[in-house]
Amino acid sequence: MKKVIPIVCLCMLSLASSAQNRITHYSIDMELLKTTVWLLEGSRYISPQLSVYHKHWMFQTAFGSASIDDIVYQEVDYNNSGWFVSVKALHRILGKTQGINGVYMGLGLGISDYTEKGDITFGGNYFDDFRATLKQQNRSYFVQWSARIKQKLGDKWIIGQGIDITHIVNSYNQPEFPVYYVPGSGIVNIFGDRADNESFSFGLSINIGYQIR
Amino acid sequence: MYLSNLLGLALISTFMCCSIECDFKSEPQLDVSFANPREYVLVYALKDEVDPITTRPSSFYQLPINLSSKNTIYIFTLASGETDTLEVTYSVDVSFESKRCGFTGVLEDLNIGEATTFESANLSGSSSIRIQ
Repeated sequence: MKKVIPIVCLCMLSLASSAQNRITHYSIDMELLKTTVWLLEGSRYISPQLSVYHKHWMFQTAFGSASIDDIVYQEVDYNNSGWFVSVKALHRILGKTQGINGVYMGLGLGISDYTEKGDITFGGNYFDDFRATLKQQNRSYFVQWSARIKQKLGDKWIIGQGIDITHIVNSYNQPEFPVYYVPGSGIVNIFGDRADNESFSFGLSINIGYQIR
Repeated sequence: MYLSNLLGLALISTFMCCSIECDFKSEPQLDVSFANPREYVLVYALKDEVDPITTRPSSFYQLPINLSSKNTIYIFTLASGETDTLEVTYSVDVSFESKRCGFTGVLEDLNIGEATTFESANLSGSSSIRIQ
């Protein structure tokens, strides 16, 4: 009997533990850092995300819409307008075996569809200035490595911070100028030639979430 | 001595190899040369007003090209008031050429237009015309 009680206790603990592990949490998150940085530049970047926490895993799907205005290549008044969708699976490497708090690392896949437009002016001496609009469209597929720190603030709110390293897997369509920005990925060209165009980008993320379940 | 000559040669070849010419970044010019020049006292291109490009007779003119149009018409006026006309048609392609040159334009499909009164005007290069 003395042997049975500890075994039953262990079984109950195990069941309770597995019951707790089955608990799945959901949150709606919103990217803050990129949205704020681009807003200060007079641009728009919105990226709502749905996060699902299950045992050691966090699954995240993000949708984003961006309209970026900038002056790039010193000469062109640039606009990038597009959207992206990504899905990620991140494993909790530090933290409790349940709940939301923890440090996560994982991989994701994404697609980004965007149109880049550049307005350029050549000064005229005899005739008026010449203005041209250059336009190019791209659909980029990317793999993203992500790390996140998730921390609950009170009962429902969640703050997340992290980094993303993105690799664009297909080639760019850039007949007019080197692709400058890929929504969902980041800036891939800093005044470089087409041939030097990067397939990698690096980005920081700060987001705020609300636990819905 | 031999080494300094070698270094000098290397330096010269470096400059020679890297002098890259870019396409135009502002209003380009058309080179027009005459084999038998006439005494033109006024040369201008058609636009809202008569704006002289030059009033000096010459056998060679550099004439501005209107990038905002598909053609440019030049009027060559003699002292007697008689005029000759040269029309060029073209298209303009602007794109990012290279990191060094940035955004540049090129003239494509340069041709002599129908309004031209010179009987012997011929293209002699990507942006030059020879009139016999």
